[in-house]
Amino acid sequence: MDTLLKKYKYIIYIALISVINTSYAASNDLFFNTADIPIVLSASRLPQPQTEAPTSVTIIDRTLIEASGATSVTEIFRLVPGMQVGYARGNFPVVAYQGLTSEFPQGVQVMIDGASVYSPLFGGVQWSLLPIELEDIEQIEIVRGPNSVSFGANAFQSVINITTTHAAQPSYSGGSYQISNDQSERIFLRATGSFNNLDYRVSYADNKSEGYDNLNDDLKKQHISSRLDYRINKNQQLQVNFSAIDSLRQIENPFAALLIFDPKRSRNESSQFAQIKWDYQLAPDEQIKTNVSFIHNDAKDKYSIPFLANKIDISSESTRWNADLEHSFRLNPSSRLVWGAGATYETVYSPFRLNTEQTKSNQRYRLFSNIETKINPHFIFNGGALIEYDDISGNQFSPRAALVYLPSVQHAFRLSSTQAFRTPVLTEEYRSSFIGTLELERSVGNLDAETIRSAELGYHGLFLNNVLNADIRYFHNKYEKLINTELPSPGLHIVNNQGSATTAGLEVEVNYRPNKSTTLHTGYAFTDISRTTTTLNDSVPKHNFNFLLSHRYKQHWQASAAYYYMSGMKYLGGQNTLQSTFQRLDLNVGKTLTFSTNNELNITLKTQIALDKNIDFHSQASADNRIFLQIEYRAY
Amino acid sequence: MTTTRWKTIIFNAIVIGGLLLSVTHSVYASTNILIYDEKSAYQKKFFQLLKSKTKRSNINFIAISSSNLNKQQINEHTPSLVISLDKAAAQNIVDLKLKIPVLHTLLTHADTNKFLTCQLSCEIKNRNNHFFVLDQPPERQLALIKLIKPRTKDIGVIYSEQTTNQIQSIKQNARRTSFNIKPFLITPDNLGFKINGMAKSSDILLALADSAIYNTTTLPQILLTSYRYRTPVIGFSKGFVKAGAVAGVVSNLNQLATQLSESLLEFESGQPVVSNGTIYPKYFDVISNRRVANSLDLRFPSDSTLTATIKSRETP
Repeated sequence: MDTLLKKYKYIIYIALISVINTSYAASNDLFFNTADIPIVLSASRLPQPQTEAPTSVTIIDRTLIEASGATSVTEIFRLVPGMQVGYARGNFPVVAYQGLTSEFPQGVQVMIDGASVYSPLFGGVQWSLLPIELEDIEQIEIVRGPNSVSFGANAFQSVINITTTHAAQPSYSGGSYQISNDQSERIFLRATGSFNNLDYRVSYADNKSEGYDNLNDDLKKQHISSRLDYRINKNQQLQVNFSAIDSLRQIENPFAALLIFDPKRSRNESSQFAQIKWDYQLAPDEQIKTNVSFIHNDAKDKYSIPFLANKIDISSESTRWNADLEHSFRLNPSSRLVWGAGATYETVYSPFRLNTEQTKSNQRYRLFSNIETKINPHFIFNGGALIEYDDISGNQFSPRAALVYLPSVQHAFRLSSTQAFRTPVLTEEYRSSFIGTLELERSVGNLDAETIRSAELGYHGLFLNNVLNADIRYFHNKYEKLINTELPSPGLHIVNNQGSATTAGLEVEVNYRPNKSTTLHTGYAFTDISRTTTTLNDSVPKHNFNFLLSHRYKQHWQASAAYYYMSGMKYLGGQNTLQSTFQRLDLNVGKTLTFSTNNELNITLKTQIALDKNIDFHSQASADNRIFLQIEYRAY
Repeated sequence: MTTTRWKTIIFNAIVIGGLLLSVTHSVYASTNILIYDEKSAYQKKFFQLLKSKTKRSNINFIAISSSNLNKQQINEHTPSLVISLDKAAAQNIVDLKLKIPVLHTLLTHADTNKFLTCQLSCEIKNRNNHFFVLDQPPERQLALIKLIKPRTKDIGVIYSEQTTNQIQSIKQNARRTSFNIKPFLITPDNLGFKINGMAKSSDILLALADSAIYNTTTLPQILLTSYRYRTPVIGFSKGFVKAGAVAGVVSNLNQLATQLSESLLEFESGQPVVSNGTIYPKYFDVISNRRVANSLDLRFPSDSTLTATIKSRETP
């Protein structure tokens, strides 16, 4: 017995010593053992100061997302001057910038943690299959204006750069349930955890909605997604994102005359997304980032129509592989340089639009570099260029030059000029569609890339000890070789490069956060379009305005009010109708109840009051008042 | 007398004189025992710095590994004082209850609280123990906040059991300013919850050197959550600031060694070591992370200007 006690004493002693040693090491490792301290907020995580940016950027952070009371990812973009949010059908959200778009806004590039989710099938982004949920978003940076020089093809009118939340950060598991007066329901569940240097987050969302009252546009969607962050060592991080979506999207042509060709049915759409990202911080000012991503969308949609022996097969499948390498470093105390290369391989299967059972493919390679030089404390020069090769449209070149003048650190004036391009997607290049022997669409082939030449004069100022910032920009854009997306009715639609337009206008954005409790955000855009066809002209809303005020009260109450306005416009596409002014008032109120030491319950009531009862895309789709009740439980 | 004889006399005189001098020197030289972990690179460096800064004095050091420490070993050298360079050594020496002054260095305030369980009575019970802590005095840190974010109203301070007694001191100092201190007590299971609450409601986070809160495992979560709500973090070490804190007042090994060597020289000259237990760093620098500052739209003077401004405001 004594021997056993001695043995245990020895074990206890060893254990105590090891505990002491461990705590000692932990105690001082933030002081002296700097080799083990990770650089958490590296350059890639931090937005560039807006006073030094060569373009206008809207930053929507978590505070603004929560304040807005947004009920879906797309609703957030109503806060961006010049952005238009609509629903082609209740189950098909659309986000565009400065018009010139159908229900597939091809001029907006969307990146998630550096990986493009641009659809190789239609161009643009199918927001109903976005591989992230609202709760996963940490921050969104919207570059207002073309930016091919940094992001390559399709960063044509705007770039939406979404950063998801680090897996270590939302250290809570839990779930939420949301129900609305239009019979929509959403269940969201999240689990988080960590093993040593690995942090993970797994989310599941189940959505059901019934869309607009007069349309058959129900949606049932299940989505599972995850993010893993692995700290290899203090300088190297590995991030893995994964997402899988399965959905049933109800479709029916809103025009009775066309119902025979486009009857009511459910389209089964699924999507898989995977991404591996490796960041290597070589020095405080030097970083290598690599990103490999894969996205696959599959839609099954086959149906019979009278008088036709064969079924119409509108099924489609698209796959994209993308790899990027980026190296940024400081050339000297006043200059930073970033260069990179990328490759994309995409395939599309679309028997209806391509009139073939064959899968078409496209390859794209790009090389880019940007330099930022502080000429003196008052002037910053930003220059860059991108060369891209594409199987369809050949070589493309995108340059940019910008000069920022800072009379003081709080005020910046910028002048920039750039040229960007959008390469045709495979279904534009090879478009050929029939119903029976009736030819509907035909591409002239060998399409060129759409081009835009853009100039911007802007101002960004910080006031009241930097709690108020204002951004104003005047822009002038010249579009050429626009690909015709207008489907005439009736008649053969020829896909060609004959469109052109010039837009000019003014955008203003103001953010005011006097304290931690109050957030004010407002934006206005005026866009004038000229030198184009009436159809393109109508697609650009002239005025666009947003205003958001949010306040957190004592006892964990929060309230916000938002007002959104957009002038009348008409989306491109033969089935879309002229829509009147959009006006909506959102009123939200919420209360957080805390119980035990690390659990909380959040109850939020969100209302969306449709002030104009405007139509959305189709005459049958008219906006109505919505009320959402959300209950969220968080266990930290 | 021959020349050879004279040479012998002079030689002997030099030798005897030299011996006498060396004896005198050894009589007046003070012997200090320095207890450190020979495997620790920073402790070795600190020891070297200390030796180089006292090499022109009569201070001798006898180094003992903290792993072989016992009272007899210390007493046989009859030291004037003992210096410890880490927490384990400090813990052992406090337990030995030595009758000579002991200077505990390279410790955090939280470290001292952990093994000085006597708390308020420590001053009496351990009057020979003096703690040169790495933490900066609260007034210095509040001065930095005033300089880098003048509109700050609410300062979030997250603390654990280890650092409970520092909150009062910070609050007392804050009373002389317009700041409001918002303390958040954390336990191992509610760190994420408290960080979130702090970041949402505070204008800035003042980090205490508390390993229960801030370590390499928790740092990403703390910095990312604070940054999510645009709440800058005031760090307490160079590594912390490099990792993503916006700024911090820090003392490097050289500065800490300078301060300690000055105390040793004063002691050697006959002045007793006087302190109320805790001795804050005398020499310091402000370091900042400009990338983080720019991202948070914080504009403030250069690090050297901040350092000079804070120094000028401190009473000598």
